Amino acid sequence: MNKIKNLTLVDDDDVFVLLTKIAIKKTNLVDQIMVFSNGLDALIFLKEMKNNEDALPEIIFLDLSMPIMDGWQFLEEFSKLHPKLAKKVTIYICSSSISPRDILRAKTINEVSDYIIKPITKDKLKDIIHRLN
Amino acid sequence: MNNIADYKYALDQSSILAITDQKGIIIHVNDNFCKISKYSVKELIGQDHRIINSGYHTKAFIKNLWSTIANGEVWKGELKNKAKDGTTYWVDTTIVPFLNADNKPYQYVAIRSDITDRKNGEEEIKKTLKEISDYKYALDQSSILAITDQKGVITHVNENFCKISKYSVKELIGQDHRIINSGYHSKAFIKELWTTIANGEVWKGELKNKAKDGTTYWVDTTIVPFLNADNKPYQYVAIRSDITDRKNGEEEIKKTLKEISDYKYALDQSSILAITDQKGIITHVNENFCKISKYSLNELIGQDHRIINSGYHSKEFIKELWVTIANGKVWKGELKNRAKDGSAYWVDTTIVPFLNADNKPYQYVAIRSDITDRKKGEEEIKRNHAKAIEHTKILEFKNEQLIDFCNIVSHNLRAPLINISMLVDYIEISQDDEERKEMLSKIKPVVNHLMDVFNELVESIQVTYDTEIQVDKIDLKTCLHKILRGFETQIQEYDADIQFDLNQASTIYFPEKYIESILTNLISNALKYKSPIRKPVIIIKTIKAENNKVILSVTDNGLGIDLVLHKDKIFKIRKTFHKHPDAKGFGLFITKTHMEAMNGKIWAESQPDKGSTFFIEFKNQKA
Repeated sequence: MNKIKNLTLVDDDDVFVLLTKIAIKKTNLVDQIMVFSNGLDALIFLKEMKNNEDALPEIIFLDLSMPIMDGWQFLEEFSKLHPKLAKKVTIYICSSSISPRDILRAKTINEVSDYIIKPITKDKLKDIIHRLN
Repeated sequence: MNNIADYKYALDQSSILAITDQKGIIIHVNDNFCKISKYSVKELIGQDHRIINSGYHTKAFIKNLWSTIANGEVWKGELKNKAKDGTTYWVDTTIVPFLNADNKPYQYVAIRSDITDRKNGEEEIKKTLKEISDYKYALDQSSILAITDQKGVITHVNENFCKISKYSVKELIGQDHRIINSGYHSKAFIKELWTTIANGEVWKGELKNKAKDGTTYWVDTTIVPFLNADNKPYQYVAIRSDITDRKNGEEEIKKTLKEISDYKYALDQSSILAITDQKGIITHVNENFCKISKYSLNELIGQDHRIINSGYHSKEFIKELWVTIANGKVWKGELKNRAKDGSAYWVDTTIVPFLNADNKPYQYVAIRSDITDRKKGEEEIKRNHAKAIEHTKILEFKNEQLIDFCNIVSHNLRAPLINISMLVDYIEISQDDEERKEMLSKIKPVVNHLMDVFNELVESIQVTYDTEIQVDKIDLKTCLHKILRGFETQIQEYDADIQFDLNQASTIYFPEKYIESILTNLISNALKYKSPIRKPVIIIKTIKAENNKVILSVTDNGLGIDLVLHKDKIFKIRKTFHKHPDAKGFGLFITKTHMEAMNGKIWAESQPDKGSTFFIEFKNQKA
C-alpha cells in the first residue's frame, strides 16, 4: 500500500486531534500530518500552496463545527479554489454529528468524497487510504 | 142694427180688434189692441200691420195666412206678436176678410185673444220634451240601458247594452236579468240591491257582470224603480256605464296596495325598523327594535338615534355613513349598537333616505337585522385564527428549538463523548504509565465541557415561546448598573468607557430574567471581543419606533464580525467567530431565543476591526 505524503486535519477539538494524530501515526501510511483549528486557516494555506504540488495534502479530514469558518463555509470556498490546485485534494467530512440533515447535505457537495462519523478508527483510516490508491 | 152694435161691443170688450185695409195698413184698433201691443192708437193708425211682427213664424206660415185671406177665406191660427217694448205675446187670431162687390177683400178684421200664458206653458212642455228627448238620446248614446219588469225580466235594452254584454237584443228580451250575473258579488250585496229598489229607492253601485263569452266587465250602475199608482215598482230602469278599465286599475292598485302592505308586514315582522327625521331624532320604531334595544317605545320616540351608539365604530366610519345618507344615497353596512342594559349587539343595517321635493332627505328609514350571533362567530373565528397563528409561531419556535437541540446533541454532546471514549480506549490499550496519566488528565476538562454544554442545552430548552409570560416593568438604568457591577473587574482592567443614551425610552416591559441574560450577553461580547489596539467604548442606546416598539442597541468599537461570511450563523448555537478562549457560541444563541420567545427581534451590523452594533427590538411597549 502506497503511503500518503500529507494528511491534513481541520478541527478545533484538541483532544480529538491529539488522539487522531496518534491513530494515524500508528497506521504508518502517512508521512506528514498538518492541523488547522478552523476552516479559514486551512483555506489560507491551500491558497498559498495551490501551485505547490508537494505542499498540498492528498487528504483533508474536515470537521463541520468550528469557529470563524466552519466546515460548510470552507467547502464553499474550496469548490472555487479546487480547479486551480496543482494536485487532487480528497476531502472527507469528519464530524461527531449523526444528524441525517448533515449527512444528506454532505452528499450534495461534489468535493466531498465521504462522510465519516467520529471517531476515526485505525480500520477506517486504512480503508480510506486504500481507496485512494 | 142694435144686435150688431151689441155684438160689436161684446167683441170690442172681449177681444183684441184690429182692422187693416187690403194692403195691410192698420185703419182701426181697439183699446185691448193698444194695451197688449203697448202702442198708442196714433202710433198704430196708418202703420203697416207688420209693426207687430215678431219674426217668429216661418215665411211659409205667413204666406199661407195671406193666401187664405186674400182668397176671401177666414184664417184661424195662433200668432206670436211683438209689443212696442220688444216683449212677445201669443194671440189666438181669427182674420175675417170683408169682401166688396167684386168679391175682393177691401179690409181685414183681425180678432185676437191673448193666449200668451197658454203658449208659454206649451213652449215649456215642448222645451221639456225636447230636453227629455235630448236626455234620452244622450243617455242612449252614453249609457248602457236596460229596463226590466218588476220580476227582473228584461223588457228593453239599448245598443250599448248589447255591445258590452255581447248578446243580441233577441237573446236578451224576455230573459231574466241574471243572464249577466258574474257571481262575483256576495249574496248580502245582491240582497241589499234588491231590497233598495223593491222599496222604490234608487240604487247606485258598481257591478261586475259577465258577457256572453264569459269575460267580465265592471259597470257603474244606477237602477231607478218606476212606481205605479200604488207606489209599487212596475219596472226598473238600469243605467250602466263601463268602468272595467277603472276597476281593473283599481284592482291593480288594490293588489299593489295589498302587496305593499304585505311587504310592510313582512318587513315589520322580519326586521328591526326605525325611522328618524333628518336630524337623527327617532320618529318611529317597530317592536323588534324595542326588543333588541331593550328600550320601550316611549323611551325611544323623540330621542336622538345616538341613544343606541356603542362607541365601537371610528369617527371616520360614522362620518362616512352620514355623508352617504345626507347625500340621499342608501348606506349598507354592519353596525355594533348598544342596548339599554349596556350589552352590545351587531346589526346588518340598510339606511334609506326619503327625499322631499328638493331632493333633500326629510327622514331616514333604517332596516336592521340581528347578526350578533354571526359577528360573535366571526370574532370567535378571528380569535381562533389569532390563536392558530400564535400556535403556529409556537410550533415554529419549538421546531427551531428542536433543530437546535438536535444540532447540540449531534455536535456538541457527541463530540466530548467521543473524546471521552477515545481517551478511555487509548488508556485501556496503552502500555505506558506516563501516557496513561497524561490521557487521564485530559478526561476531566472534557467532562467539564460536556457538563457546560449540557447545562446550556437545558437552559435553551427552558425558554418557551409564550407571549402571555409575565412581563416586568424594567428601569433600564437600574438594570444596566446591576449588570455592569458583574463586569467591574474587566471594565477597570480594560479601562472601558460605557455610555448610556436612554432618553427616548428609559423603561421597557419585558421578563426580568430574560432582559438580564440578554444584556449580560451583549455587554459580555462587547468586552470579550474588544480590539487589542483600542480602548473599549460601549454605547447603550434606546430609540422609540413606530407601533409601540422600542429598539435597544449596544455598539462597541471592538473586533467586529465579518457578516458577509457569517450572516446566517451569527445567532446559531455553538458558532464562534473569533479565537477566544471563552468563546462558546452560546450567548447570542440564547439571546436570540429569548427575544424570539417574546416575539421580538435581534440583528446586528458590524465591520471587521471597526466594531459591532447589536439591535434588539421590543414589541408591545406601552407608550
